[in-house]
Amino acid sequence: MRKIGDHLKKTASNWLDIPQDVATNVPRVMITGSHRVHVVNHLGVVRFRDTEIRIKTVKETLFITGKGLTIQAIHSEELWVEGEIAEVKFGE
Amino acid sequence: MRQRNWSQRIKGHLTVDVKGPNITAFINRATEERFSLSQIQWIGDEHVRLVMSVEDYFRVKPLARETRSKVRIISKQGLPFFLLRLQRRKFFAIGILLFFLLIFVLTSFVWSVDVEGNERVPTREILQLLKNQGVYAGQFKGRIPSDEKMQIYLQDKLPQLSWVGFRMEGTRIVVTVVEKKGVDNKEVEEDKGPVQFVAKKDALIYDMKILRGRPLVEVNDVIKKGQLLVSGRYGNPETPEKGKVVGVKGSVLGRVWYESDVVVPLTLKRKVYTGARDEAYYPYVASRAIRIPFLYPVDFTQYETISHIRSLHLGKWRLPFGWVTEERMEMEWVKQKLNEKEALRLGKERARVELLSESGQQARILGEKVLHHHVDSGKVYMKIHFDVVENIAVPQPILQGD
Repeated sequence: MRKIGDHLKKTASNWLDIPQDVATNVPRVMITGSHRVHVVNHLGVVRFRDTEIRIKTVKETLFITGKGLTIQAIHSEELWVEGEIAEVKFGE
Repeated sequence: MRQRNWSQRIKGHLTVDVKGPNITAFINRATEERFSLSQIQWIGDEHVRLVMSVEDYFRVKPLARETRSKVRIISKQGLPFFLLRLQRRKFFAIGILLFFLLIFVLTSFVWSVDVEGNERVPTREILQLLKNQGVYAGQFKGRIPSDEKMQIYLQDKLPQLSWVGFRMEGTRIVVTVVEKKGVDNKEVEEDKGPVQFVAKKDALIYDMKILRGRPLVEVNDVIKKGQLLVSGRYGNPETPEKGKVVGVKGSVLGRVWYESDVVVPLTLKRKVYTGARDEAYYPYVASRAIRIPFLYPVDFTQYETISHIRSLHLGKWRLPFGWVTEERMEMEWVKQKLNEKEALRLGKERARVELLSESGQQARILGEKVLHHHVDSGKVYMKIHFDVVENIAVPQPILQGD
């Protein structure tokens, strides 16, 4: 799983041509439709409810709110949240 | 990334409930420890449900203690658990295998051979022909020749059929037969064309019923065998060759006298059942009875057996096994002595039956008389005179000049 993460990181940095992001552990958030959020470089889950998930990142906390939220998979660097997503925002 | 990939399936995974005050801590610690958690669902406060691999489950204990969580297995998925279950239900698995094997084996045999559509050709004959070609109930399906071959073979062997169909319906073989339409005997008679009546034998005309044709004789005429009785031509009797041909319809009854010689022995041997009977049962498999020697001893010195075959049926199929009920009936030979009078009566009766069977359905006995009899070495010899009325007209085609 770590390999995949590394690979993703590599391809993403090559593709986006912003290697410093990866180096500084800034989170990257990918939203697919309104049902999936993919977070790379997270630092753990702070709060977990089916209506709200808070994810710790380097500086801020990432708030994901919606309905029937589940963490589809969680690995040391990335995680997927699925469900009816209403809002994704950064906050303290 | 797919939620459940093949490696997960083969290795097996568990759905577990995690309860505790620090669920998020548990999740974070697990991620740090490189657990692969997936499908984390929030169920209630301090209660989540998630899926983890089996390997991870074995090292979850210290982690749970650390975060004061309780981990409980809800369900197990994947190949290892399936195999485990299968191992526990070994006989069930064997049963399933056996079931399919049995079905395969049983369906690879012919269970019954049916013949359809035959009226005159006996089913037995067709079955025998099939058997010669290796087609019978109990035969391995693979050994049966192709439908076409069988069709040609049957057609060849049974020329009285206009068509033969041979097909396999699962474990049943169906032979469909179409018979050639035979020409009816009645039609033959009517097809003969115009006929005239001639006498079958010497007789005295007793009665005549002529619907068509010109009678040449009258009631109470004495006629000779072969004499023309009713002409099929109308017209001037003086020139019979020129009359109009119409044919004859009707019947001519004549009185005929017969003399029969009958011999009746004075002692009759007859078979009599004593009434004592018992039954024996044998199983049979594939038309072979399995006799169990000492199971049903025979108590009678002289007996007759009647076998009833009881075959088992499964739906509409007759199974090739069942049992035979054998009924044994004790019997004796009884010698019956007859006096002369009885012998004569018996002789008459026999002669009568014989006579009527010879002279046809219309025949009627007017009178009978024992002309003379004598007893010689335990037998009565007699000569009986019969006065019989019977149809003496024989239809004969009218020969036309050219």
